[in-house]
Amino acid sequence: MGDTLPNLLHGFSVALEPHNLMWSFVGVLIGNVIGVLPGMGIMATISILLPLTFGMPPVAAILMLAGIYYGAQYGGAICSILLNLPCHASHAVTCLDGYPMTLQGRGGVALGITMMAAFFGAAFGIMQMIFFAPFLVSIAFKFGPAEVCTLMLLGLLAGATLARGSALKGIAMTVVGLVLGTVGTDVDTGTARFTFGALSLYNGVDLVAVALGFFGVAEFLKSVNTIKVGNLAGMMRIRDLRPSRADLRQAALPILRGTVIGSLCSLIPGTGPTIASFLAYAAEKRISRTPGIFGQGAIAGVASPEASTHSAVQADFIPTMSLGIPGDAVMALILGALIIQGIQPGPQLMTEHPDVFWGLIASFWVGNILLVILNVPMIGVWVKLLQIPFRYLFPFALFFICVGVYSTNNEMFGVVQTLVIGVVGYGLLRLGFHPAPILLGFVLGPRLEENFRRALTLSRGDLGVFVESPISAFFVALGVTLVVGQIFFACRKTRVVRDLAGLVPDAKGALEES
Amino acid sequence: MVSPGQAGGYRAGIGVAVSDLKTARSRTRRLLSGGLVTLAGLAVTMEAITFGMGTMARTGPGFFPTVLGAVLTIVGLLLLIVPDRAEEHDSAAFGRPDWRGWSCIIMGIAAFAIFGELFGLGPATFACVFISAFGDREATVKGSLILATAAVVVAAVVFSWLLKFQLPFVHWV
Repeated sequence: MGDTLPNLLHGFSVALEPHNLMWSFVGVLIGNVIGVLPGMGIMATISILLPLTFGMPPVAAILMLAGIYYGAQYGGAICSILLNLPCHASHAVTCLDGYPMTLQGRGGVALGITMMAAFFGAAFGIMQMIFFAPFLVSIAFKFGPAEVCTLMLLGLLAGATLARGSALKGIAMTVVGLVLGTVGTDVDTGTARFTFGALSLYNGVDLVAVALGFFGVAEFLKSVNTIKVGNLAGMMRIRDLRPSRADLRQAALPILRGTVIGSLCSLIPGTGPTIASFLAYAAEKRISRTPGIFGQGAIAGVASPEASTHSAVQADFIPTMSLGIPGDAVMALILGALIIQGIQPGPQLMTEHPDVFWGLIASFWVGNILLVILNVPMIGVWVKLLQIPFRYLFPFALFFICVGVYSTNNEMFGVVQTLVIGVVGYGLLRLGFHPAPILLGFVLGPRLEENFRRALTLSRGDLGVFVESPISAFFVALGVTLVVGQIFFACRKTRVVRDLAGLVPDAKGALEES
Repeated sequence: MVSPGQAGGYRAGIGVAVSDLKTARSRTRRLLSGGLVTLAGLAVTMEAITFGMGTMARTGPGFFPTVLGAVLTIVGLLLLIVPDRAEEHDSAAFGRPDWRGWSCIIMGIAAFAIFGELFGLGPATFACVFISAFGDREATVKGSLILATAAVVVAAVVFSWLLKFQLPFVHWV
């Protein structure tokens, strides 16, 4: 723990290098724009820009991609509060009280409170990462192949069943992702698997094609002709954002509670920012002395979920950067970007690539401060951006998708691959399958197989190796508990998500979207 | 005149019909999704067995995919028999089929691939944006032309000139 401060200072020296600072700024700026624009996805944006980062140094690449993710959270709230559009699932619940506040002419105050909640939540999430990640790493160093394998299985299982929709369908999608990950040449023996003679598949299915197919093409097939541009009344200026003393008093405790809920949620795989924001709202409504004001412009109903989202978003990076196990699809994509950069994810990342690890943490501070600077004085610009109709946006986005996939390998095969994946993905979406677990399986698949086979070789083919060491037995037990618990709750018809959907009736549809 | 009692009965009748339709739809959906997953699982298993299973101590390239195929098959069978409750509020998220939007988006991307191979980035960009723009019900020819032209300018300046994009801007086969 004594190394934390020097490490952090080193991180700042990395993050403040002009080159890195510039990319970090580009990342948060693009993220903020994407967050504001209705119908544009974070996943699609990160994957379009992924090929662009191949030629960049690893630190700059990761800082920028991460910046898009948390930058978009600042923009997303603007869209929810001013237009009542749940642009991003993690801000859907903010509509409930944010939009009524706008109708009462207090939209600026709602945004001001949001910015404070966002910064406070994010700051807490970053602190959590600074102190908790090294602790996790020190435990993870004791892991052998069997432990790594069972931990990954547990992560995948949680990601598949806790997120949203049917748990069985989540598992099915995870396995599909794992299968997609095995396509290509087997590392041990050189056997070609599932290539069907196509030379382009010998290197495996492309991460960019998978991500853009499921989260780009499929999303646009879903949202075409469904996104309407709302009309805004009047403009927004900086002084409208300033909350009164009474507003602040009302917001303080909810911000604190939301932050704690968010930081706890982020540590459970599969329950990212979206579920954190719903839980925070539900909790706030339940403990309130006046639950009746929720839905009619309660400040607590904006402050708490926003703080929760932002702290969950920052702390989301903890399992990804310290264990190499992503909790949701965005993190899987960031992990994929690390792997493409030649950085092996896992507990050794912190010691082998301190530039990446501590640089990223420091860039979170820098990025969040930049975002507050970007959002408060420039609120008018963002509000104008809100009015760009979706019909001008999606053809451009499709063009960027095509260019992005083409540039990964400089061949048209990628574009065709993305189109096929996108159409299949949309079909699956309509059948009630969610694509997020596919990406988790796809990114973790190769490492899962490697550790699985290594563990079996070390134990001379004895499957007992997965339950003999106490650590891996603990993971297996947790996994079994998870499955049994799911069956139990499914029978009692009280799944967490349904419970929440009942508490927050207007936004339940939004929980289904990613 | 319809008496209140009659109206209630009528309404209840509609309710029954709607819920029948809902169950029928959710059954088709269950059969379709379960069947697809089962078939995919079987296909994966059959293909994976041919890669060579190896022994437990030295697992071959087919071992892990075969396990995955088997798990997928089992999950598919479970999907076929377990009634799915999450379905109910899921279906609300998707409206009726939007053939116009879908076909324009698909054709737009396909056009990028074809025009890109044949004529280069510029024509591919124009075709992709112009065609996909018509997916929106409020699209006009003029608006789409302007949008596509703007995209071509972006392609020329940002991709071909600044980023040295590999695909030539214009070329003939």
